[in-house]
Amino acid sequence: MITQQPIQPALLEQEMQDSTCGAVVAFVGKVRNHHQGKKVTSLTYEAHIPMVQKIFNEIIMEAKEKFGVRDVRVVHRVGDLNIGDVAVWIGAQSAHRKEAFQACEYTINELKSRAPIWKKEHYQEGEAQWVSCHQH
Amino acid sequence: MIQIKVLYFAHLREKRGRGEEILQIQKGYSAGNLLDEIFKDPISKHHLRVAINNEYLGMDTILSNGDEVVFVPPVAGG
Repeated sequence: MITQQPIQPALLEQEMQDSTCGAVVAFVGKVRNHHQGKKVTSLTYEAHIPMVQKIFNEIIMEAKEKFGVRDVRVVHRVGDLNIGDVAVWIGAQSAHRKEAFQACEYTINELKSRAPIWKKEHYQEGEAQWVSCHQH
Repeated sequence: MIQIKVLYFAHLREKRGRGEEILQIQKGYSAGNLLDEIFKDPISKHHLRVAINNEYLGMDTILSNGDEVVFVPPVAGG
C-alpha cells in the first residue's frame, strides 16, 4: 500500500503473525543524506497510486508463487520525507528463512524497476532534481 | 475524434504545468504520436515508458476512446 503517514516498521512487523512461519524477513528502505557526491537534505516522493497498488499486488503474487512464502507485504510512503525517514517497508514470512529472504529481495528489486513512483531530491546546494533509477 | 485522459507525473508534470488533462485526438493515433504532439522537446522523452489504463504497453499502441494514458518517467521508488 501507499501511505502519506510515517512508516513504523515495528508495528508492521508485529502484524506478521502466522504460527506456520518460522521466519520473518523485513527490508527497510530509508532516506540517506547523500547521492552521487551531493548532500541531500530531504526527498519528495510522488506516485501514480492506482497503478502502484496494482503493480504491488502483481509483485506480491509473483513472489508468493516463485518462492512459496506465506505472505508478503509492501508499504511505500509518498510526500515529503526527511533524512532517516522510512521510505519503504517490505516484509515476507515463510516456514523457513531462505524463501523469506528471496521473496523480500525479489519484491524490492521489482518495485524499484516497475512501480510508478518518483523521487525528487533536495540538496544542500543547487536545484532539486528528479532522480532516475537508471543513473545508479 | 476520440477523447482520452492524460496524466503527468514528476518532471513531465512540472514541464506541462498540470497533473492531468482531457484531450480530443484523431482516431488511429498511437501513444507515441500523442507524446510527439504534447512534448516537442526530445529531452523530455528520454527513457519514457507508457502505461494505458494502468498497464505498461508499447509506444505503438493505438489509443481508444476513454483511455487513460500515463507517460512514465524513469521510476525511482524504494
